[in-house]
Amino acid sequence: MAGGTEALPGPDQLFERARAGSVRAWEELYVVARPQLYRFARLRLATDHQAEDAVSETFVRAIAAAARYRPGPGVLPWLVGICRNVVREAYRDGGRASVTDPTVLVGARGADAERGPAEQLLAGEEADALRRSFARLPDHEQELLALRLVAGLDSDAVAAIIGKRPGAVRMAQSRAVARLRGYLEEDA
Amino acid sequence: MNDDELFERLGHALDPVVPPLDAGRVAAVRAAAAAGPVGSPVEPLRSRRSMLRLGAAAAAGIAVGGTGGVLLSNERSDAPALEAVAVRSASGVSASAGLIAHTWGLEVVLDITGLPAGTAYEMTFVTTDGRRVAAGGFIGTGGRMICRNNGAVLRSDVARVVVAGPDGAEAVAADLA
Repeated sequence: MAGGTEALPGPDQLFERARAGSVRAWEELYVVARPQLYRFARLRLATDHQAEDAVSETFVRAIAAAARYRPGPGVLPWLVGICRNVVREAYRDGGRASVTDPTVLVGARGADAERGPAEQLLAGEEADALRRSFARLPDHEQELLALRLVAGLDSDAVAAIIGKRPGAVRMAQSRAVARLRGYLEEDA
Repeated sequence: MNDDELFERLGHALDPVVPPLDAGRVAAVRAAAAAGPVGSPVEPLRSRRSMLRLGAAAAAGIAVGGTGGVLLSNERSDAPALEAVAVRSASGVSASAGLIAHTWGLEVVLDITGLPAGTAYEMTFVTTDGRRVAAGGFIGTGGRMICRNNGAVLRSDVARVVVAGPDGAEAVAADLA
């Protein structure tokens, strides 16, 4: 059908098709899930290449483990959980060459043509301060916040990934935010 | 600043730029899927690493042989190739796209975030000889949208893909090789 638009199925639908043997569904699931996985991995690893490798490895493992998948928070949190393991193994293997330089993480949303120069400067300074403060958080708190902020997961999904109760995750995130506020005040 | 505002601003500050899809890595996923699960008791880790190396090699544009060649030749018939394409987005819009060349036309898989809710957008293919071919439309949701658009023109004849709003301003554009 030419000249038409069709919404791509969601990740869970794609995964069901992929599990049923559709190579194309795996390919489309990669397209759909990659931004979230990449953002998480890039924040936790030192280079773009390491992050891309982590996403590729995540999919190889997902393909291998698809038959063992059990429905829970959804396939995206499941993939993020696999990606988290890949990242942690990279840490153990020494694959994280250095702590991620926060200044390289200025996102696509960092430049905003609709803001005036003064507003952009203030927003840029604030973003720099936030990145500096985030980098001072203990590693497990950085990971907790990354799962929510960058991977876009709610407390239930994060809890399923790290093996804690949702309430405990919310409390831990609150503690991380409180610490972040403290660092921001010190930095001001 | 309350916690929600702080979360939003921190998320904004930390959001890494996601590079355009890499055709080599897409091909590696396709090859891994075509090969089927490799989590069997026989050399599971080695198999996985082979897949990852395949992806890295393909991403770097390096010719792959051995295991990679076998995997790539073992593709299933339901898997048309997804060609990664670099896209440019307007301020506030984030997008990635892949192309599927069919015998009947071109299909675009578009993953886009940031189109204002309620605003209608049209996708157009610009051919190598300057014709504009409609490829469907969609309405912004304010959130993430994943759409599949089709146009009645062959991949080899398409020079440019454009998504434009009602005022003609381009939200997304991609120049095809």
